[in-house]
Amino acid sequence: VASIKDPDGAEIRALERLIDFTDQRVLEVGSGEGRLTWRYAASTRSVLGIEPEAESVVVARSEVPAELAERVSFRVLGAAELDAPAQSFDVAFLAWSL
Amino acid sequence: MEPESVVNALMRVHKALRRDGFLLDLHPTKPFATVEAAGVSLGALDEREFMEIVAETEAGLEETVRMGLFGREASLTFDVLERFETADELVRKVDEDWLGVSVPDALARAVRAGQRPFDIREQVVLQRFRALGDTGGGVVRALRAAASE
Repeated sequence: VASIKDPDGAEIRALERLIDFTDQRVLEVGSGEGRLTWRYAASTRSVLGIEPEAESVVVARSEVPAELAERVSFRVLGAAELDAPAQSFDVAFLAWSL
Repeated sequence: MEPESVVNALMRVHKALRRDGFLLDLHPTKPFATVEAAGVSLGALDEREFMEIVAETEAGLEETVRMGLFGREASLTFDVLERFETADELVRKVDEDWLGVSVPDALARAVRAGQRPFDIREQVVLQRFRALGDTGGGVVRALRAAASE
């Protein structure tokens, strides 16, 4: 089913009021197909999106914009299995995910 | 996700965050989502079951605040739309993909009689937390306390 989530950009406006993503190492939990990732990733240092649904990760990896390819990556992983090194991120973003 | 699972996940997130790092959480909140056709509100989705899930999640998040892992700093509440070109797409998407949510029959009939665009308007809350304290001792103590209960 085709639908457009947040056509008005309310999410990214709210995010930018609460956080400055500039040069931040971001962990996005529940990154889905990257819908929100593309909206904030440009100013970050890096983004790791974790998502338990393998099909969504396949879609996200196939749709990474060229200009974000070096800073954005995705893994098939649930938050409860997160195994990242200690203190390796500046921001963790739980996007409709817990 | 059960509150204990939320706490477990957030402890892992806390460990991965640098000291004084930020946790952002975005999730739906009450009141229930409404459906609009051409900007006119037609009624609310039945989200009672889903809101029980949200309450469990919020309880888990609160537990991590109580444990001293995170401190709440700021919160914003706002609306997010999801836009559909047809009424049938909206009804089908909710029925097939939205856990714990359904379209009441009367609302489905009203939507199908309405004019495009068809929107679901959800109220959401975005919260910013600060990662607090050490990444080891407090968590270990909390885990031991939970295990001994």
